[in-house]
Amino acid sequence: MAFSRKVLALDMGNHSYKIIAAVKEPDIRILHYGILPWEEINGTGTPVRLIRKWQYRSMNTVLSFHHTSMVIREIKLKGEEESRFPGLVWEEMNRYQTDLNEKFDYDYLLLPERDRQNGQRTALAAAVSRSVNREYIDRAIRLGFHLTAVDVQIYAVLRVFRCLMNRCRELPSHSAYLMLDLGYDNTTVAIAYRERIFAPRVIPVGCRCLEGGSADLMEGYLIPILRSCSSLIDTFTYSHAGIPLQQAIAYGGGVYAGGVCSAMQDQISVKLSDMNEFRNYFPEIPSGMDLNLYGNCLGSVLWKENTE
Amino acid sequence: MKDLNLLPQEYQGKSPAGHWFVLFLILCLSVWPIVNYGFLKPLRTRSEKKQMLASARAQTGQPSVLEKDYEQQQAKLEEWQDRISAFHEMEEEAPQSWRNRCDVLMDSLPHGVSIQEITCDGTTVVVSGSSPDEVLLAEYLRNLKDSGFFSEVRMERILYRDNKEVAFHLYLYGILDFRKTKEETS
Repeated sequence: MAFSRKVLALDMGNHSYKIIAAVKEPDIRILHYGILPWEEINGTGTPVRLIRKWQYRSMNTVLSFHHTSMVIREIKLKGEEESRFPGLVWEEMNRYQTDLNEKFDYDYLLLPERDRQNGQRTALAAAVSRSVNREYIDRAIRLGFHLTAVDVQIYAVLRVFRCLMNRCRELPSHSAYLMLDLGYDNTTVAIAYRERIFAPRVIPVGCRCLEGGSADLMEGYLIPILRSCSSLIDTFTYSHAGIPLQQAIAYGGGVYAGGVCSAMQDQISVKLSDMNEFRNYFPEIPSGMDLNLYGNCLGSVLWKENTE
Repeated sequence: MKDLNLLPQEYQGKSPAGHWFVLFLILCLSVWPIVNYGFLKPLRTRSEKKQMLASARAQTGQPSVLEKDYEQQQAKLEEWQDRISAFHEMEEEAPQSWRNRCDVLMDSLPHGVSIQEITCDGTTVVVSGSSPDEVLLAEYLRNLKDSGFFSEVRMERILYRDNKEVAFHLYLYGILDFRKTKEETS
């Protein structure tokens, strides 16, 4: 499928939809960006008018959303014949579908490196509930978007991270990073190392629960997140002892929930920064664009059908 | 390598290459009947007919044989035409023909005019005779002219005698087709 120079990234969040329209080549240039609040999306016809005004209808759109049904796995592929790999991935996915009693839409890619000991290939597979996936897709189509791809958000942010690591000396590429996506209804924690994501976990708590503003609520929000972070860090440092993990990067609307970041920083052993602190390393984005809110969306702008 | 894409196949638009392929296929399908029925089939039929004609010629004989037949028949026709014209000549030279000419000469005579001698060399008739006067002789001349059997009637010599009687020699030229002239006068 040919991908045109202009691209539209759409992050369909539970709180709001974020949109970035950009030209990709030769360098990324942001044409428009904006937030469509959830109330407007479900209420008046404003989004459709906005979409039409920005001439988004004819642009190729990369959609991304976050859902607890998202599964990301690395599958070791036995055997040498590459023609058998699609069948092996299908079998593995079929096993998931049977175990979870849920139909999945999935995609995979073969990682270039082989296992040093037995030469096995590894497939990186991502799957999401079919009904959920199609609900989001149909909703986007109803709004008038022309879809080209459904991106996996955690990998979208990883693209932004990779870009950042290439530009920022404070973030060496040989280190691992704890990623914290503080969403409105869900929180994702994962560890990123080079091109890989280790053990992404989705915790069904989001900053929505902080809208009351009490200390108890803050505790109820933070405890499951911190517990997952500690567990993840322990597992990673145990299994990848030689890889330094000293930095955590948080993003998402939850960053702006009062006192969340400072409370987290007190509880975790690595330095915590929010993504917008690094926005000076992205001269291509407009000054008003908040990387904490548009991080996922910017990552989808970088989505490529064929990567080098 | 590519980035992950969870957009199901049924939602993915056809690639431009696919569009072009479909377009090309439709074009081929629409052009094929025109090429087939407009050009290829007529050419095929023409070559088949040529072959059939060649085989038919081989069965019926060469065109030169027909031409020879035609020439032979033409030669026969000419021969028959020559014979018919010869018969016509023979008929003109026949006694019946001469009798008819004499009848004309005699029928044209006014009362009192007489003929003593008639000589003929095939194309010219010389009539010698006598008339009681020149008026009757002139009437005889007019009658012969009016008969239409001769192209020219000329008085060659007149001899006046004492009693107004005249002796004459008439030359009658160009004996016309007796049968035709007779039909016209009738």
